[in-house]
Amino acid sequence: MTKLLKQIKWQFLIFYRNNLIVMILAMAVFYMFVIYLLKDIGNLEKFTTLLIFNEPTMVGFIFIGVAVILERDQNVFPALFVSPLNEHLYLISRIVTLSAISMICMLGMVFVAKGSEFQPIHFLTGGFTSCAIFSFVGIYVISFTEDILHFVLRSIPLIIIMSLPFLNYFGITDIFVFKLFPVQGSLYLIDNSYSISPDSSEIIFGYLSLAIWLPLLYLAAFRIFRSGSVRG
Amino acid sequence: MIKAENLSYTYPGTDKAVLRGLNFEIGRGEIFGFLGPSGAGKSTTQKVLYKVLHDFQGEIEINGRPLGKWGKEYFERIGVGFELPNHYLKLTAEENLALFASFYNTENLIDFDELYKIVGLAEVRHRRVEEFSKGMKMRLNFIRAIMHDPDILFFDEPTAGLDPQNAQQIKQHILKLKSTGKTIFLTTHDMTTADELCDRVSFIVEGEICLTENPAILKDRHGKQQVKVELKSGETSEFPVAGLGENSEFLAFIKRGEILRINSQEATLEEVFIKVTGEKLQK
Repeated sequence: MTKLLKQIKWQFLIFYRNNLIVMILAMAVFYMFVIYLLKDIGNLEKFTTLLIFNEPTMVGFIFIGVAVILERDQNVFPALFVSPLNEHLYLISRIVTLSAISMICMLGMVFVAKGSEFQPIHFLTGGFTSCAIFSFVGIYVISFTEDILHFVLRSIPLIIIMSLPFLNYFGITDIFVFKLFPVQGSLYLIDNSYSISPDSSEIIFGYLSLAIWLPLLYLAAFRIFRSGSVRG
Repeated sequence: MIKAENLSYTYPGTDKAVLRGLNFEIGRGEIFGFLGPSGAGKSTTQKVLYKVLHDFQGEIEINGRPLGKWGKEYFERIGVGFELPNHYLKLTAEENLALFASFYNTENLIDFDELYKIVGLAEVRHRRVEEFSKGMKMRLNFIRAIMHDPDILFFDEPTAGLDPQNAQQIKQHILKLKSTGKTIFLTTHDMTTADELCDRVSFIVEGEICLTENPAILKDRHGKQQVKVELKSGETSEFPVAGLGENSEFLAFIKRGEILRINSQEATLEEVFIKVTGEKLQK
């Protein structure tokens, strides 16, 4: 645990020094401003959820890619891969750091939207896990791309596909398969955390879905990281 | 400490082997140099040895144990000094070392203050690496490679980008590491560095070792056993080293006028390299 905390400290410092934290916070402030402007317009709860959900998506997916590209540009990977670096520790610390930053931003957004009227455990679990899910997928995608432009271009269709459960959420479709997508669990948890009438079956499904998807996606990300493909 | 037998390697997706049946052995307390032109296979050999490239053919033993049997503990035992700087540019020198040190067993770590002094970075250790010159970054590379007191060191062009004074300092420290029993494998284009540091060198061309020998023996073997005398008048003449003191022609020549210089006609390592690899390339 001490080792993990140490690595989280280093990851936080790397993100901070590369101004990634400032960028994440700026993005969150923008979202908070939009939520603030829209909250009195009417019943935009689902749109607020979409905005809140978008934050960890961007942080997880895009910023994990940016961090890896920075390391590639600075030629750091060769040095990392000849050290006794524990890849699990490295990967987990990086994702925990990003997810924690994202969680703080999401808290700010939900306070603007709902005040303190939300269930914190479901909300924070939903936020943390959605960021983690997108980070895992981001690591996978970055291993097949050379620069940030390629990464963003490849990310867009994948983000759209991964976000298909929102079609069900907005009532546009009612396709069962979308419920099996990795983000469905996080979406249920976030949505039910401030719902007037939370659906306990959705909450249970959310936790179960995450319990299945998180280890699978982590293992895929770990394998690709260990193979050295992220080095470019 | 390092033994390679019939080492061959082909990069995935290619047909041509980059390394072809290399055989070499590096003992404890020895500096072994791999010399060769770009693309000869020097760096690939090192990458195989520090387990970045897998799926090689042949046998490699490190301290009597097959390379494949070593786990993470292998990286506690080796240190790698890369040809190019590789640091987190936004972190300070001190933070960079501390970050990498956090991956190692703390018991073996050398006092950082001592390391900074060795390479003259003590005053700038709190500065961000992005503010460093290439030479300063290379010196940081060097101390990162040795900070955990490894038994085996790999250096790729250890003096590249350094000014003569710092290059000398690094070379002196490599010799000091050798004297403490470290096994050192270096690859370089710089024949002077190889000549000054290596106990043995291998010339590698197109993935094959052409020759392995002590640099002094090579220079002796490929040079002329002669001295060249140059008088201030501009007259020059060469005489065999054997029996020089009794060589009447030599004695008469040096009495003919004021001597400007007397040089031995030993070959340089670079000349030997060109001669040997040239022969190889003509095959």
